[in-house]
Amino acid sequence: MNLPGIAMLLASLLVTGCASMPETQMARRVDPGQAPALRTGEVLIYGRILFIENGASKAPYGLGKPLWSVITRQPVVAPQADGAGPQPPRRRNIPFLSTRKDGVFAYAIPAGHYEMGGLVPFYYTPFIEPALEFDASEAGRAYCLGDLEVDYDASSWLGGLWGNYITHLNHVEVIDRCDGLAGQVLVDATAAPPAKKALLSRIYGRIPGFSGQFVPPPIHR
Amino acid sequence: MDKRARRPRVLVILLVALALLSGCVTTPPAPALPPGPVAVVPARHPPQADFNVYALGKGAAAGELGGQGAATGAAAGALLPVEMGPIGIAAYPIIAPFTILAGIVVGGTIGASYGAMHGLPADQAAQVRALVDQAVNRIGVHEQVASRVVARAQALGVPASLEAQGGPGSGAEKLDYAALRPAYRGVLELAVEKLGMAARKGDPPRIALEMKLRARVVPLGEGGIAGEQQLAWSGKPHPLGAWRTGGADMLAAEFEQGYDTLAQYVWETVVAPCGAGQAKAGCAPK
Repeated sequence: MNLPGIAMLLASLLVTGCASMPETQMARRVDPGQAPALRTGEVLIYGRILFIENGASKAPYGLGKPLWSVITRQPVVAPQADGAGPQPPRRRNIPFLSTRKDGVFAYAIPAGHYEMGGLVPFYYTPFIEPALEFDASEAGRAYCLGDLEVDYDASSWLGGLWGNYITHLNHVEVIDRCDGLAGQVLVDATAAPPAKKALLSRIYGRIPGFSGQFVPPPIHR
Repeated sequence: MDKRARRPRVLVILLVALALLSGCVTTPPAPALPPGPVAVVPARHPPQADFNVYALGKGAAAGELGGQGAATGAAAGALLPVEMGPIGIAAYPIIAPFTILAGIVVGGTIGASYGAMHGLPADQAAQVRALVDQAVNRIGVHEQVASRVVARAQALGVPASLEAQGGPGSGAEKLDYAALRPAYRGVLELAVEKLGMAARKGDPPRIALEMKLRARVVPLGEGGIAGEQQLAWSGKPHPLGAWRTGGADMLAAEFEQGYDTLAQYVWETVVAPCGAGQAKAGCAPK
């Protein structure tokens, strides 16, 4: 393609909304035994993701560890870097979140009101959209999001070489086991930020389902 | 082709892509009730029993999935020579019959064996059928959802009343509700169209109660958007043994959860949808 063509394509992408794409930030994982030192404006989120695949718990996880992301419900203004001009508000996307082998996760992220984005066992398709949100707006706190249990049917062929397909989302449930969970995450209670519950709750008007362009072939459904 | 002649074509393609991306192609608007008094009308016909393929039993599941697998295999077989490149395309008439045949055999065999593996044994399939019959014959499935929607509306000050007698007597009947025009601005017709027990994978196999509901909006004057919305609920899967020991109480508890969830979905998506995270009038407080 020649130069005007490329310019036009870029212009069309900008006009059609790429300019308002979310801003991507990375979360800091808090490992077991590590004192969760939070930076200004950050919170600690923790909880557990438990996949039930074909009626059996998938934890402790091997290859099919949960992969998920969070994105702010509303656009937020990013803190200004030195010398940078004012930035327009954009949604904040935090991708590549996962869990430990037992399904427990703990991350330091900027405070905010988030929704859970695509959730999937690694190397599976399509993405599960659990339609869940949590409010962790008070900086300097630790928020327990609860235990998220996701029950699904899946099919694998040739040991997963032809793909691992989630064929049916059976049930999504959030269970409050925060009291037991805090001990597993916040090892040093004196160094930990004050804990609060912010259980994942269903987003008004949204129903859990799938997303992504890859749908299981008919034989798997 | 001349380079200059090719440019307008590139331009047209870009413009079409731009138009598509920028929203010229839109989905039809979701059904919406007009402001003012609303009649919530439940259907009067029994729901249709709905099984997923595995709950039909091993033989039926093998047959169904075998047919699907053969069709998929045939399609893949027909495309395979094209994917082989110029040689495959040139020799298509020679290669294609073999690849299609291979696709039918392989796809059909995989599908049939898959159905036979995962389908319920005959005795379990019969037990599931008995559970479905018990579920379908429950009285007032539609009214249960409708009354919950009305209760939610009244609790939040939205004028809604249950009109239990005026609903459609069959799934195909489309009423215009002209008789309700003097009293209401719109009608919300609710019909649990399908109800069944779906077999889910597991060892032992698990069974879940499922309901599929159609919410139809009929504006009776100005305002509102006529249309239908399909909503589905799937309960937590339980082993067949648990259903047997749980008996009627377990079935009733699952139904209660289904009614509540479907009423909530109807409320949030049809009666009081909140757009783009902003609460509109009538939206439930978060």
